[in-house]
Amino acid sequence: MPSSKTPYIDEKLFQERLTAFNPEPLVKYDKIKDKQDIEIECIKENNDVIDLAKTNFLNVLNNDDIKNKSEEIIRKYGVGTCGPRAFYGTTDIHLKLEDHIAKFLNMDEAIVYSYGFVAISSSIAAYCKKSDIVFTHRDCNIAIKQGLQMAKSKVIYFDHGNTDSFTTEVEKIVESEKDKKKLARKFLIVEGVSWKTGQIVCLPELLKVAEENKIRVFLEESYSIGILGKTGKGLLEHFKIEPYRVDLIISTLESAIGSIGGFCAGSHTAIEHQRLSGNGYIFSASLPTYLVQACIESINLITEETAKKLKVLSEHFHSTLTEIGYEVLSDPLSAFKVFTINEKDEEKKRYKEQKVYQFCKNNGLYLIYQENGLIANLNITLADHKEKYAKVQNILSDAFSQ
Amino acid sequence: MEKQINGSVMLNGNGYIKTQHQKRLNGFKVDKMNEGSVSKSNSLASEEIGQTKKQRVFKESFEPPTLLTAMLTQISFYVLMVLGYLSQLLFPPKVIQEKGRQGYQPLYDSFSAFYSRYVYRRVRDCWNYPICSVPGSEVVLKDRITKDNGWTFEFTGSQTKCVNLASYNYLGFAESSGPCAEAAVQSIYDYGISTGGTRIHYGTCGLHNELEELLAEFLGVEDTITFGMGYATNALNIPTLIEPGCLVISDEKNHASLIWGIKLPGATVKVFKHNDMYHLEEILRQAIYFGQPNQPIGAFKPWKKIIIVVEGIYSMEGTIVKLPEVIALKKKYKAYLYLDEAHSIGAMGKHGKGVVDYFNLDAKDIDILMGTFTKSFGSAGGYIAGSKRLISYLRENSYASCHAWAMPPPLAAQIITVLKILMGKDGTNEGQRRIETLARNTRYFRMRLEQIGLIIHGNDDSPVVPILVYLYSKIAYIVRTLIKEHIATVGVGYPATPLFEGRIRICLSAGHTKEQLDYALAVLERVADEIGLKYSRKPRDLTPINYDDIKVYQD
Ligand SMILES: Cc1ncc(COP(=O)(O)O)c(C=O)c1O
Repeated sequence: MPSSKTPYIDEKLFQERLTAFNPEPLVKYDKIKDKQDIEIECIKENNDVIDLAKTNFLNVLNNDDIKNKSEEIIRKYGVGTCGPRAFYGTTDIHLKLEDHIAKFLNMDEAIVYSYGFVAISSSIAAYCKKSDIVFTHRDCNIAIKQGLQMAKSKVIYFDHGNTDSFTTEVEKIVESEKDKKKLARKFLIVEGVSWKTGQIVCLPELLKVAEENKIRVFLEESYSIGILGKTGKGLLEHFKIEPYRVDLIISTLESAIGSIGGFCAGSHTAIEHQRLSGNGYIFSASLPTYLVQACIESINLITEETAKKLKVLSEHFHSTLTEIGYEVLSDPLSAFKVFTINEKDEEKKRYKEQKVYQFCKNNGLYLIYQENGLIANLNITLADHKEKYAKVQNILSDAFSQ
Repeated sequence: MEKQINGSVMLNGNGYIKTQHQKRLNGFKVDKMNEGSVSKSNSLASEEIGQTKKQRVFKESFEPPTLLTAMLTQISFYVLMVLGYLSQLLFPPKVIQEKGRQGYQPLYDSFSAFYSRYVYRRVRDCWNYPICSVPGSEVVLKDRITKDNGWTFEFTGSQTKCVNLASYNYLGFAESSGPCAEAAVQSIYDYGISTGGTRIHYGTCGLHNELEELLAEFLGVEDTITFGMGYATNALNIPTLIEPGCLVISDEKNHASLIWGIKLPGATVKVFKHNDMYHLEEILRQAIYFGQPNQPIGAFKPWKKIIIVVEGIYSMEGTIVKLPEVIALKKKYKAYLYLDEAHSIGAMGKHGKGVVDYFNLDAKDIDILMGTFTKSFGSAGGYIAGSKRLISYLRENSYASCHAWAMPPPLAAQIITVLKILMGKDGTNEGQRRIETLARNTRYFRMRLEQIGLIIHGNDDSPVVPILVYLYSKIAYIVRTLIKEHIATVGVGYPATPLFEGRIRICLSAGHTKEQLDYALAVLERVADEIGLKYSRKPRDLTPINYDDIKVYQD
């Protein structure tokens, strides 16, 4: 018998509608392209080829010790872990890495995810809920956006480089809540170094406003850990801020650390929650053990010396680019440089950027060409190899004046 | 149309498919699907199924617990909760309080905190057990103790070697030596531990191309694309395929990653009862008939498109999707089909090509064929297979190829080697041997468990075997006891399963020897006696089973 809830369907009309149903194509995409026209293959570095396309700030991807250690791990643990963390997918190495990260950042506890993107989106969705208000910057990365979309929180945007715009937005909310008994819970989610522009956020000022209004702070540190701060511990060290003042540090392990995965670090209270509520943590196999070991090795490579070298290199490269005449969007301290050509006409600008990109490529210097300009991911070895640096400088200079 | 449709519909000859003979025996239900003998019905769907040449007896069992068991389960859970509340009053959490957060609203709701600290903590030792070896047919656990009831753990320094009935190592390719490990190691020196970029910006390497070509050949599809994580394959790709105005019809037991991907883009989602083809068809019919909701009176607006999302093997249920019927339905109602073969790829079918192979179907009938490499392949990452158009679109537009890192070369190397072995390209029949061993182990183990009198769920051919224990407290007890007996299993309870369906889950592997299985069965039988697990009231066939006589993939 049909259940009482089944609505009446007129068979004749149904057949008509079924015959008439003409669904949209699965994807609206007319021109099938070849793989080679979409993807760009990685290049083999040698004396004639300088690769500033891959993120390899500390040169860990070329580190023979790390390769050997990875081999050792594969020969003991195999490649994959064949299970999520809860179901025998936790090796002693995973625990060691979480410990290592917590100590490195001076936090209580850390939790490791098996993919950077998911670490960011899942952790945000674990805390932020529908009734919450989240402040984030307009050009935040897609992972943050996806996490917030999933959380369904009310999102309020401000400008990454402009603390006043944050203050204004907070004031507006405080004003609107003046007569309310129950205030919405509030979060600030901000990239330490903007993925898009390479600008460093003015954290002390944001924290001040956040603390005055009891807003919890999640700091995204993918492009600051291993790079900024006296000993490379990231933005908090850079600004000499005590770790407890942020609720959560979220970061991928894919930039300076040079492996795969991501993590969150914070108080016991904060991290404990993710172990039962981090969607991508619970419902996915754990990070392959050799990549976990690679993270530990990379973190051990981060020292006061590397931090200093990278700082000097970054500043030097920034002035090189400026002197040649490029417009540099990123902070002088950022290890990846976002630069473009000063040109009002957008089309002309794109054309010129493209020409620079191609010229560099033809001369063995590989950069990334993206919608917001050219990107050079610095490599710490440039600090030691004066001729290599000079070569990069010459190519960029010739490319500019071609 | 707005609200969820409940109530199962069993109409005859009214457009509903009628391929299921449901027998009710003694309170348990056996679903049989015999494609050769489809009953006469004018439904297009069943005619199409009838055309599949292959005959397959589809046997899945769901034996419900007795009322007493159900009641006890409920009571025991509440006792646990009450104890939890009591101890929360008596013993405030030892976790260090947050610093500098006085006057802030709590970071998460108090029930989560309570559940984590006072319910989960008591049984916390049953999960996250650290290992220090490859998760092969045996696994070495690193022993730990807790001196404070689960707040913290310390390593004791000793280790326990267990028969591994927990890892998703279906084909036994989790290996630290042999051709796969060698290939992975070699790729570290050829390409590095990671390529340090996204697929579209210098993260692609030769191994990716080789893998994608080989996988397309293996699956029998036009093209494939691979990603660095299985979860992300679902979570980041589905949103690029659907939009508001689309209807997604999703199985109620679908994996969290699928749900994440489906929820994001703001399309309408309807859920059908697990593997219930009547319910699925009911929703499809209504979708066609009523179209999009909230139209002006008298207006009719069809859905932009309808996508059915199902899995191959359901990892908590051990069931297998009724794929021939789903395909027939999707064709009849012009819907698209998204099939997640995470657990079934490699583990099912005569050639290891998943449920598509198991049912002898054409992979091209599935619009979006997804799978992961974390299970049968002993690696990590995921793939999507389908038409050239779909794959080219994803290559260019997927968040996972533009904003997330490419699959690291050693993972790709491991998968390529496994694929070559499965396809016999290594010049041996090792792949075929593993596929058959897994099927034989599965049959053997399941038959023996039924003989013991345990209630198991799922399909007879599914290597995922949930053993129902119902009571929340029994889950922990069994996991602990089995570890003492050197057997590693997984306990699953609320909230991952319905409250009253606590279970122990076993994943079989081609790596398991008959001796290992017999040992595990002997221990399970003893434990089942000790704590009363022999719930089954099914008639038992106690004829001794000869392992070597079990026929697999011969029909
Ligand atoms: C059906 C299904 N899809 C996707 C995934 C996620 O795969 P991975 O562990 O590779 O992230 C899983 C794994 O648990 C799964 O069971």
